[in-house]
Amino acid sequence: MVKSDIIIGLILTVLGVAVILHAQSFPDIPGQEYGAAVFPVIAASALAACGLLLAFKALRRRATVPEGVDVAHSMAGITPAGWLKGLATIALALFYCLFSDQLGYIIAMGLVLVGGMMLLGVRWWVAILISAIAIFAIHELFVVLMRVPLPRGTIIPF
Amino acid sequence: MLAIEKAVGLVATPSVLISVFLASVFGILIGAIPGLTATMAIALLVPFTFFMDPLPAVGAMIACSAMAIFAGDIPSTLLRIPGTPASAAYTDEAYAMTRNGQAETALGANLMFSAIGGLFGTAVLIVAAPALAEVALQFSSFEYFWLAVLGLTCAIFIGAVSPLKGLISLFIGLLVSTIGLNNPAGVPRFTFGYTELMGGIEFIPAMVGLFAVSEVLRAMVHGAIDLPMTQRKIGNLFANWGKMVKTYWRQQLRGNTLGTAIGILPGAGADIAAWVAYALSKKMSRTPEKYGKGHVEGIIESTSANNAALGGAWVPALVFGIPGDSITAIVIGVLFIKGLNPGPTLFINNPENIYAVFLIFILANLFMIPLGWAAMKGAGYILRVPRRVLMPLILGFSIVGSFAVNNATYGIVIMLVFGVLGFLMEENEIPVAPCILGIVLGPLVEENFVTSMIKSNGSFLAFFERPIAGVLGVFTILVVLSPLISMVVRRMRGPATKTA
Repeated sequence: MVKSDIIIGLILTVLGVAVILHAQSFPDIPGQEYGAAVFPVIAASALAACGLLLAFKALRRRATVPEGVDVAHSMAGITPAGWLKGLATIALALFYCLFSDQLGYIIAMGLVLVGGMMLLGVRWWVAILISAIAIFAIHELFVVLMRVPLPRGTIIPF
Repeated sequence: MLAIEKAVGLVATPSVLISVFLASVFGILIGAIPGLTATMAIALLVPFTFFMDPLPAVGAMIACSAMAIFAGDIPSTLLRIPGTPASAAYTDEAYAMTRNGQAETALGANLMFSAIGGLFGTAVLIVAAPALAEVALQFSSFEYFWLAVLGLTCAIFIGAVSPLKGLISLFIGLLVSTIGLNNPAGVPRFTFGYTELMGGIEFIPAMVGLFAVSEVLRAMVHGAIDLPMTQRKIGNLFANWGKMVKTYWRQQLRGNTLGTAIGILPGAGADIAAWVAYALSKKMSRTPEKYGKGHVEGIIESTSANNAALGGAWVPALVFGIPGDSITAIVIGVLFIKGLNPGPTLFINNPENIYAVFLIFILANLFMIPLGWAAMKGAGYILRVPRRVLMPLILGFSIVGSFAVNNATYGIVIMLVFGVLGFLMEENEIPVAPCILGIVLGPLVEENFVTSMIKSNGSFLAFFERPIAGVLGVFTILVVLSPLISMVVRRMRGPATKTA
């Protein structure tokens, strides 16, 4: 927990300072002291201060905690396979963003659902069966009931 | 009386009744599945409400949240996994009853006292909200500024594990709220030339990401494990109702009152109410030694409190537009989208809408008994839904819901960014709820702050000059300083206890 707090604290501090610097470019309202930059600068300064405090507190804790007795960080327990599955999930959603216009909702969503279930170890035929039902249900809800134009696809339009 | 008659007419339409009913079923299912929270139920429901008229939309969200908070007791009792944080206070107690073979008594108590608690909270809401609205009419930007800040600080400093991490989450949310054109000066901020960002961060996809997608990512990364059930058959839920009311009416009343009071505080909601009620119940009990070993007394008091808090939380939400917890924060966001800006004028211009909301509250708590009974009887099936099938379905649902808000892929990207952000925050024990409060309250805080500063020519003292503003201001500062004060007190007491 200690090391991650130091890293997060420093990242937040850098982020806060970057926002403060960027906010200097916001134009002033002529004749008024309180323009667009005031609020973001306050929030960013507070974020940077909190970041520094978090890192500082963690550093002080590190001095008192003997080597190797740090409280386990929940991310430390993630296996490489777990990380890959997480990244694969993000990739599935990005895949939908990029290709749903061409492939159409049915195929793109099918790949997302079947892919997601197989990542979690569902048998392939169960995954395909449940995905098919879900795709139909979502289609009825969103396209038929709420008239959302889900992408129809350009390759096999239907 | 005319407004009430109109309100009955508004509620007694098929579209309102059907959406309230369906949202109730949805809320119970999501709340009963371990690991899926009441907030997630609301987050998944919101894209639908986008396509509804204002009243069915609000009704659906009220019913859904009430049911999900109550249904969180089911996995809490049967599996020792609280369905929502509001059930966590008495999870061990309820599970101990299940191990003693008394699951039906625990569940029956949850069902009955949740419904009564909800009705109690609603009654207070009906009486208190219009009266407070009268007072709120006199508020200026100074009072609203302090109210918003008070809401934010309470959310962080009451019951948080680490106030510092809560603050970090809040400031991230406030910064997110500054993105786009929507600010007092009308200047594009942090858009980096992307026209999509001009309109600001869409609230619905951001919320779906923070509360639903982050959960999917966690299941993917840590593995989706299903847990075994101890007691499979649920007996007669209604068996001990009469006896429990007769024996424990004091605990019930105390839980109701305490829960509503905590709910009314801006920034404190059902989960805090349940913790405080459980602790108080143990302290006041004649048999505190039975607590933790499967004793129904504490369960009754805290389950009475958490559902009453839900009604209470709507008081500041409707009167001032200040959310009491993350659920009301989401609903306030939706109210703004629907053009039903919460605030005292809502009570004057559209009293029938407010009465209709009250009626839906009562309706939802009455629906709770038959629906809750069905869910508890079917708990064996609901709890066995495998998470490894459920999580990808939630992802798919989130993608379509985020797309539907603007019919644009941009919504899915926002959802994904916030999903990853929410995952990283929770893995590092930074709570997500303050962030959503920051996103919703950010524009309100900024507008009232900048207006007040311009009015007072930059003098910060003006924030304390009006009497109500002064009291609110001092109170807020005390809450902010409370961790510091308690630290000083502990330091001063520290040496004394060591020598003793």
